[in-house]
Amino acid sequence: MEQSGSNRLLLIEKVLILKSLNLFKDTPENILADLAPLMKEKEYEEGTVIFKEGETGDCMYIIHHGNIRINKAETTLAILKEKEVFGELSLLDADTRSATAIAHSDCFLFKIDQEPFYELMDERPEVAKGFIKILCQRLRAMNEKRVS
Amino acid sequence: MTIQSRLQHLFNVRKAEWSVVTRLFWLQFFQGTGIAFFFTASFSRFLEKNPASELVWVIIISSPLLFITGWLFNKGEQKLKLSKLGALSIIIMAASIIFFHFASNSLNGGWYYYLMFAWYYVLYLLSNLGFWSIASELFDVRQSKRLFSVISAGDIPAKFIGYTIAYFFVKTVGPLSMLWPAFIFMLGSFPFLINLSKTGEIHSHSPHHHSDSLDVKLERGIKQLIKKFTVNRLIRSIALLSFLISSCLVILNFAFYKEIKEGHHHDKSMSNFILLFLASSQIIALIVKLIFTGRLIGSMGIKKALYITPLVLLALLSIIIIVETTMGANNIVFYTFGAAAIGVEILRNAINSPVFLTVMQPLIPHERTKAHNIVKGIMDPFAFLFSGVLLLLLLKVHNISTLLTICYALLLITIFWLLSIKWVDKAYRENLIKTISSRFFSQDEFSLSNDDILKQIQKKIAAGNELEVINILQMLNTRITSVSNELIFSLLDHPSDKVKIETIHLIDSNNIKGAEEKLEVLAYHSPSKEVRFYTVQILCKHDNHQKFQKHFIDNTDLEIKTAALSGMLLSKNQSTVLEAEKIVSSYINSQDDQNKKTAINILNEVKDSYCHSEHLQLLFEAGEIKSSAIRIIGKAANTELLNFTIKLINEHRRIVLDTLQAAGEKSISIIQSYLQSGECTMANKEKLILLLGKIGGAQSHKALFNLLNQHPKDAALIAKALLRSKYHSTHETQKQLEEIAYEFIIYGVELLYMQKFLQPYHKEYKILISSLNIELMEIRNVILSLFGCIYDHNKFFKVRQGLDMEKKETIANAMEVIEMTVRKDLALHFNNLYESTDIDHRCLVLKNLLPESTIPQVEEILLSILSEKPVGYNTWTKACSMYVSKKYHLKINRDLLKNFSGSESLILQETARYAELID
Repeated sequence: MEQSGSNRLLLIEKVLILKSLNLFKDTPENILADLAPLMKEKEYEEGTVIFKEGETGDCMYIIHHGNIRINKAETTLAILKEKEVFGELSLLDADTRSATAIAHSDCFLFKIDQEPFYELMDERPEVAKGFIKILCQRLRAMNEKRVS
Repeated sequence: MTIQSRLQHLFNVRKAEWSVVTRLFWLQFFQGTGIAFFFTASFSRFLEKNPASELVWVIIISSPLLFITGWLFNKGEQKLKLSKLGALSIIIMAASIIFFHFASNSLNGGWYYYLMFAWYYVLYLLSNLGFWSIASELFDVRQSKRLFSVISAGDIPAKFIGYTIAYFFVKTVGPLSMLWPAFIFMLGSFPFLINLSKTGEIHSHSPHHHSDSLDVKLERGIKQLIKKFTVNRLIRSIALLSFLISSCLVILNFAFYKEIKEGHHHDKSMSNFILLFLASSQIIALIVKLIFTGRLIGSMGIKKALYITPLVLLALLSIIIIVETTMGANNIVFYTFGAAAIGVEILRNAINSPVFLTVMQPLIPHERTKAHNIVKGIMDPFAFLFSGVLLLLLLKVHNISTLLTICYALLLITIFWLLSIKWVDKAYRENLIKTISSRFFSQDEFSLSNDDILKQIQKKIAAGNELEVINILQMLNTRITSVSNELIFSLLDHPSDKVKIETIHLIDSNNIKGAEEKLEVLAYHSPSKEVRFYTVQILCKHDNHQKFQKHFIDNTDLEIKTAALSGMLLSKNQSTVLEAEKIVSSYINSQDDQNKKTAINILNEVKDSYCHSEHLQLLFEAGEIKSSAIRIIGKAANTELLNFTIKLINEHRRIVLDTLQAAGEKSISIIQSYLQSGECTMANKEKLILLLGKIGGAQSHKALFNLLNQHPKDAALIAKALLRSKYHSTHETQKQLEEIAYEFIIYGVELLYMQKFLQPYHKEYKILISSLNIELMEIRNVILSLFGCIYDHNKFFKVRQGLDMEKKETIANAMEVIEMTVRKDLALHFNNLYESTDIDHRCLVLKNLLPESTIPQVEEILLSILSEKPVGYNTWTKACSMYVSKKYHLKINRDLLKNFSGSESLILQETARYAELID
């Protein structure tokens, strides 16, 4: 069952959480400070389906506490732990979810929706630049992996 | 201060570089000593058996040997890792030395002495190639400027020791025995190479075999050689310079030995004189090299440093020629020539060689190695061959009875040497820029001149694709003639709608007559809506006899109506404009939203040429109509409209900013007034100042400088805006901007000191240290923006890219460009501030700029940040300060917190309130 977070974190603490993620480790904190207000705190009880395979994705999630199981049909693809993210591509591109995400234990997540993120990018080009940089790094890493 | 740190300071070596530098020094020392002993043995034995004039043949024999050695080394580089190649070189050198010792018993033919002495040059080359290949891989361009003089200095005490020992012992133990210490010293260098390999630095560099092996397959021999030279202009100019320098030195040394021989009739006393000369010159060179060279290159720059040796040589040669031709005084000539030989030897060792290697550093590693191979492996052999043949000719023709002939030859070569430095410097600068970023742009021009070209164009119009035809259209637009008109009209029949529309625009903008019939056909019969729209617009705009206007404004199709009315509003005929204005007014004042939307569409079409007096009314509407009405404000907007628009910035920030930018120069005074009105929020202020930069032009520059003078605290933003506007400083503003850059460097240094103070408490204050780093990067960008405005936009764009890449090489190249472009003190302080060395060292070297004040408590740092001293801080840094103060119970002024609890920034507001809470 989905619940709203109770002990609200400070924005500055949310920035530190973002910075601790692999995804944002190279993004300067002053840019993440613009992203932090978009983080919605969400609590899920064990077994709650967060999203289903085939649904249109419009947000990303960050695991603050708990584990998330990623299922494709009946097969478990991965168990994600704290400081891992899922659905991050949906932040930029609305496409169907390729797998189902289920709370493997009681979870405390942060959710970032696509629309306010788009608005933020429109308002603060630095955020867009930061994201483009992340995408480029991923692309380069993939290219290098392919070449090697 | 420990002895090691004193030495580091004296030799200008950073703490982290010390171990690599010392190992390289000892590697060079042991190899150099071994070669010095070999030289003593081979030189003495040669002179025992041959007259000095025979040295010419040694020079000539050396040439192919050097060439083959260079070629083999190059091959080795393609196949082996540098550490392995270095090891193999040492083994070959040591083995060859001992071979000459044992072979002396069985090989006593004359050729043995020639070969043995020529082998000295081979050993010298091999040692040099191995050593510099490793050194150039280990250091970047800036390190090389400082360090090459120190590491290469290992060669000098080595030679000094070698020559001094030889001087004392050669008479008693005989020259051949010198080969044993030569062998031992050569092997002695081995542990240092292994040690360097263990650091991993040279292991990471793979053999350069990918492209080279392909090259070898495709092109062999001469072709490959030529290709090597054509790879890079810098390599070509370095090769030429190297050839000239080597030729000069070979000729100079030969003539000097020859002169000494004439002064010392006994061979042993002659060899002693030479050994004494070599030993003393080496020790002077060592002192110059260790203490002065690095600093000299740093302060003089590469070009001037390269000029030192040839200018000294030129001066001494001139003295010799003048004295010889006027006084014929042999002693003065001999001593001056001696001074020239010693001086050039010292300068070559102490200044020329390290500078020369520094010049190669901007090349990518693969090309750098290639350059080094060309210099040592190809140009040196050529120089030996050239000098040998030249000396042989002079010997035959003039019998070299006086030094005068040689002096003239040297004078000529020295003049070429001086000229080639200019080419090297130019190529060096070009390469520095190129290595930062490799983006190139080109422009092609087309012209319409004769029948052949005309036919070609007609052919292209008929058969070319859309893009090609549009390019032709653009070319035709550059000069409108009757010939070009015919071609333009023919494009209205082109199958592509895009081509047709472009042609219509061209006919309109150039007001070309004669296409009415074709346009009419298109207006009525074109299947494309877009083509019909633009054709109607142009027909109504230029319709002086109202043949089309009435017909089209009554059209039921809203798009055709929009096209007709917008065309009429753009007409030069006043009554046509008035008629259209009335209709548009009725749409604006209509109660029907659809009519309002039609008015918006019409005004959007003409926004840069026409402003309707009732446009403002649309801004009082709500929702989509209001935002669309803001969006369609263009360059033709009046002051009233823009004044009203800017006040909507809090409500529609993105649209208002876009609109003000679209309105261009007309917005500048409006923005200026708004910034000074006191209504502007911090966030809007930042956007509007940057917008002034985006609009650009003289007016925007004036506005930005006014703001700078009135609000110096906004200098950071204004600097970025000035750069964005492509501002280039004048003589007056240059000083002002340089002063601001200086101030920002000082701010940066203060922040660096803060970071240094917080370092021991890294665990607690990690976020604060990190936020100060973001501040330092911001300051760096401000300073680079200022440098861009003062010196060169493109250059500093690339500098910024180089620094942002955060790679050792690109940072070094960027800093080198700064050093060569920016005012000396600014460049020095900037580079010291942002160099990628440890913080302690950076603070130490910056002490001269700003004394490091003792900061007794973290609270004082927080106080500086929250009271915006010495400079305005990012929201994030201030938030971190408040957060840290609360988390670690640090006492800070509560009034400061109160200032932030009402901030427009959410993060500041929230953190201030959190920090205000009493535990």
